[in-house]
Amino acid sequence: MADNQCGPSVSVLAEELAYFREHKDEWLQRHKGKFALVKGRELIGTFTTDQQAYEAGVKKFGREAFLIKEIVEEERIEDLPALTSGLIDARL
Amino acid sequence: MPVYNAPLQPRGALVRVELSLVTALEVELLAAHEPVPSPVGGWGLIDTGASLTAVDEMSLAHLGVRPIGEASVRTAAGAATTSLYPARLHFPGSPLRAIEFRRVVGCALHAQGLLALIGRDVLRDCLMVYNGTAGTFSLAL
Repeated sequence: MADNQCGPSVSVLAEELAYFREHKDEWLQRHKGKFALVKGRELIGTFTTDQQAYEAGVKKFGREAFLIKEIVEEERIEDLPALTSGLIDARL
Repeated sequence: MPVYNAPLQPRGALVRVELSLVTALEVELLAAHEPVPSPVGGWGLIDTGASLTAVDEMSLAHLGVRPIGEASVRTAAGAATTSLYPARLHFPGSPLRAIEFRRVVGCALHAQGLLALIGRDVLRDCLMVYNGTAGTFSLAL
């Protein structure tokens, strides 16, 4: 990835992401397709939409960081070619 | 559906945008009698190659927005992870409605003179006409 473009992974959510990965298989059995709200090493709840999860997180934690992540087997890979290839402002 | 018409710029289809807190966070701050930061203004470049909208990470930090997750992004060297944030974009000086995002990619765009790259997550709800021969574009949202 080009320097000074997309940031690195979210270290502020490292604990939450690690907890999610540890429990993903278990949650897939019970909450597949739902959105998990995780704070620290605790699953606060699962929600039908990411908006519901976000609103619950903001209500409980305000400005603090918390993780919202869809419980799916395969995560989608996003495309941002202008950034990842450094093509913005390219002169041919 | 409101329509925004503008001339194409050398960099492409640029629109004025303002970045602010999403409604849910703004409501909580107001309820807690905490100050709500003023929106940050800048330029948004419409990027049909981007599957997700990206926003300048420094501006998100200025508003006090914290990440809520991560996304895998395809690069020449394979998949890399990057931060996701909630955000709201307004289009000042245009009739286009504001958009609330549950997730935008945080990137260092300020050095490019951009506040946002507007991706296909927005365009899927739009009608866009890129009139290269007339040097204009139209966006209906």
